[in-house]
Amino acid sequence: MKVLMEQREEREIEVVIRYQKMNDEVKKLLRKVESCNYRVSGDDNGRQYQISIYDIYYIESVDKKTFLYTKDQVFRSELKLYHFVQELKGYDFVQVSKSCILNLDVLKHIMNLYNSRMEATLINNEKITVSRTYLPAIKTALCKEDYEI
Amino acid sequence: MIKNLIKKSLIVAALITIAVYTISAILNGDWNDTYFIWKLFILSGLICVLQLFLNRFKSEYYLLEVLVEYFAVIMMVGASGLLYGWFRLQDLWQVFVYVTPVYVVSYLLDLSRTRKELDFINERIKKRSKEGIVNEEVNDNV
Repeated sequence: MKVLMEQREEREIEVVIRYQKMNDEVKKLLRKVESCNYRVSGDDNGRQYQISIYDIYYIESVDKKTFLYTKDQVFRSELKLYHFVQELKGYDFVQVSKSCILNLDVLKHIMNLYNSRMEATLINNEKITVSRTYLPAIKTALCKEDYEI
Repeated sequence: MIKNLIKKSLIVAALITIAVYTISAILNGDWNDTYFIWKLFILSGLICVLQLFLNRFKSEYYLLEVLVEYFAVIMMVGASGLLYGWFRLQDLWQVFVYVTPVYVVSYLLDLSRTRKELDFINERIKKRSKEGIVNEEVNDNV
């Protein structure tokens, strides 16, 4: 795949995908690009923001409230976690515990802890708890890419 | 593959056991052993329903999930044992002798399977990282 970049005056970023035949690889690329466009509303100190799902590291439900975590910010969402579980399935997000869904793109590694708990380290070195029961789902999500390409 | 093969052969073995004992009881008129086998099958069915029900309640602590299931199964086996006359009340401790080895072995097998799954997952993440699929640098364009 050849990547061409061009600096232009226009404010909006333009992505053109040229392909010979629409196949899984092109579809996957399209989905990745579209995910940058996919935005969700989040609230921070009373101000509403539109956050690209590409920027979301993980989404967690705490005391029935849903929080969106980016690299260094936390936003509150009015939507429930199960909404995001369904909505973000096709965008490399996977449920890692009863209360958390994670962007696989920011996952560095998962470690087994002494007390039969597991911990995922993210690319910003933040750590989140992973439930053993969701391991097969993570494995499937990571393997899915092989079939898609 | 091997897991499926073991599962299938255990199902076949169970069906053969039921068929052999039932036919033998019909031919010989002695139903005691056959009733015992049927009771065991009813108990295993109930344990499966219990596990299905308990699977709906997930905790962050795997060991806690195992312990809750273990004690629920102990209670179910104990109650069935008393009902079917397998144990007397003073011998109820024997339930632990029957159930504990099953849980210890399955817990150890599960630990080893989890370790393998984690290795596989970490390997896949490394591969993604090499292929450049991961989000190495995220801009705060909110």
